Amino acid sequence: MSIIPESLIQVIDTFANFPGVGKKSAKRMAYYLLKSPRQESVNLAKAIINLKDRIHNCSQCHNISETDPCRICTDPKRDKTTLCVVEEPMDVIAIENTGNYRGLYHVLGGVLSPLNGIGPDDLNIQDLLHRIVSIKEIILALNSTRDGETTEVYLSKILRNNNLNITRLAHGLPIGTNLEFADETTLIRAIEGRTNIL
Amino acid sequence: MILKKILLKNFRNFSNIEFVFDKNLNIITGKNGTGKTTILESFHFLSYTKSFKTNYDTEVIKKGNNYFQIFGEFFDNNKNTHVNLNFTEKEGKRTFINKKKLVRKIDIIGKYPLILLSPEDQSITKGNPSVKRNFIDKIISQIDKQYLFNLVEYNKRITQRNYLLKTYKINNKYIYDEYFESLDDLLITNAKTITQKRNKFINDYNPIFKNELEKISHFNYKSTINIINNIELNEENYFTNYKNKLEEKFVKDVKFGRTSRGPHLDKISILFDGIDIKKIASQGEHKVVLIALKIAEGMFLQNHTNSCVIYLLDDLFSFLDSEHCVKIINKISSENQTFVTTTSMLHLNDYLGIINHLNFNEICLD
Ligand SMILES: Nc1ncnc2c1ncn2[C@@H]1O[C@H](COP(=O)(O)OP(=O)(O)OP(=O)(O)O)[C@@H](O)[C@H]1O
Ligand SMILES: [Mg+2]
Ligand SMILES: [Zn+2]
Repeated sequence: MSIIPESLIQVIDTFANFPGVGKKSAKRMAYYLLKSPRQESVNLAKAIINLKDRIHNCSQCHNISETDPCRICTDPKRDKTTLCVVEEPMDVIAIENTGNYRGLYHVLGGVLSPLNGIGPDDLNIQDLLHRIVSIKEIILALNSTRDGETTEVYLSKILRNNNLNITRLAHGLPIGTNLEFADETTLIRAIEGRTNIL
Repeated sequence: MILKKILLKNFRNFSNIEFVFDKNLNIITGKNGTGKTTILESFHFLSYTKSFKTNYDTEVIKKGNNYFQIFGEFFDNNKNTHVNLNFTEKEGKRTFINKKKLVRKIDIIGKYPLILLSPEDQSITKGNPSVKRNFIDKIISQIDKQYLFNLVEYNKRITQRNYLLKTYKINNKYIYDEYFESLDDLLITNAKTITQKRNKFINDYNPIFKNELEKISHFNYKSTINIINNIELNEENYFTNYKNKLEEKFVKDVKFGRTSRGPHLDKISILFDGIDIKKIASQGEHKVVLIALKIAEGMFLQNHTNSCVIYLLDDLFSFLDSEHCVKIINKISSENQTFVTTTSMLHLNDYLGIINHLNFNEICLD
């Protein structure tokens, strides 16, 4: 029998399941809740239930949203002929934060990953094919990982012959990187993806 | 660059011992189990921060203790460098260069390059083709990071591909679809770089190897290193040709769950008058060839790093006649610091008079 009360263990175990949270941090978080006013826990519980009840996937772009279709898909000011394909909703936020992109998105929900058993049918690819009728340009904005690259090639294969302009993000050096300290993989890719300056 | 001295504490069979070395030739003698290989192993720790025998540092701690320490003094460009490596079970491994703590391993790896000949290396000339490929790949990877990158990527993609083949088998899917085509497009890009660079390396390596073999041997054979690419490097239609072959083999590959074409199956062989030495060479011939391969490796590393390599020849004399022993020792130690281990000096007795460095340093462990 543990000397920690069952209800506390339950909370600790739940927190420990969160990404990036170990047993130790989970304990500290649980103790924090225990000591803080009851209202704080009530607010937290409500917020979490809200999150689950209100947030859905947009049926068009598969981004997370409280409305369906989402605000980006229904925004009349956005360019409906350009589509940016990303892996996860977090990537939409990253690109939106630049304030530079005015087109629509399509969230794949992952990448092709043979070792993890993720194939084309496990991603939002069929929907993407249905969407392209009204699209002129597609930007593939996937992470430059091995699986990201495979997915990029795969998408460009199944999308070609549709009179689309398909581009992808450049793999380059992060701004402010000193060449000397750049890791080799980044450097090799940056060299392979070099562009003309004249 | 040379290694001037070394101090070992609680390292395998040594409790506390110091050795001082000659800048040319050092011959370490001693009965079985006296610590000859152990001394060479300690050099490897200083150069690469790890053993060549084990991946577990605790294994080399002298039984009954809880730490080991290796202290070495290198001499390079007219100055001494002290390297101090210690390992405790509690704090792990730490390296200090001139008393300054080493933060990044890459700041020392390859700075003091060693060429090691160990009894296990026999398989380089005698073993299956993958051993020779690995030997060549390791040399190129050290001098060409782009090669290393492509090789790592290629191997990982092959692992992915083979796994996916097995998945397709389970699902009874024998169609070469876009998923496989995408994997293969990227695989082929890596494969092309590997093949180009591998072929070029063998082209450059061959004359050096041949030349060194002539210097150290008394053979009358014409020897060459030969590579047969599994996918021929035909510049114009390499891509389509490769892709066709993968498609051709697809059903079979799904059945067996592995990829049957590609540079991971390149055949490298060493030929004597056009015949694979695996079929004809004697024990001694194998060994002399192996040593010529290692000398040529050292010359490549040397050109690349601008630093003199140190040769470690563990159990050099076994299988060799005295003439070969002396030729090899004279050749290597005339240009590089050399360490030779042997259980007995008898091999050399008849020839002691013609060893170039008559004043060589004999370290006797008996
Ligand atoms: N962790 C350890 N603690 C104590 N002794 C060890 C340890 N590891 C190995 N030894 C012993 O150290 C001795 C030296 O081994 P080493 O391989 O260096 O011998 P060697 O002189 O090269 O012998 P050989 O001529 O047979 O190749 C061996 O007797 C071995 O059993
Ligand atoms: Mg030994
Ligand atoms: Zn949407």
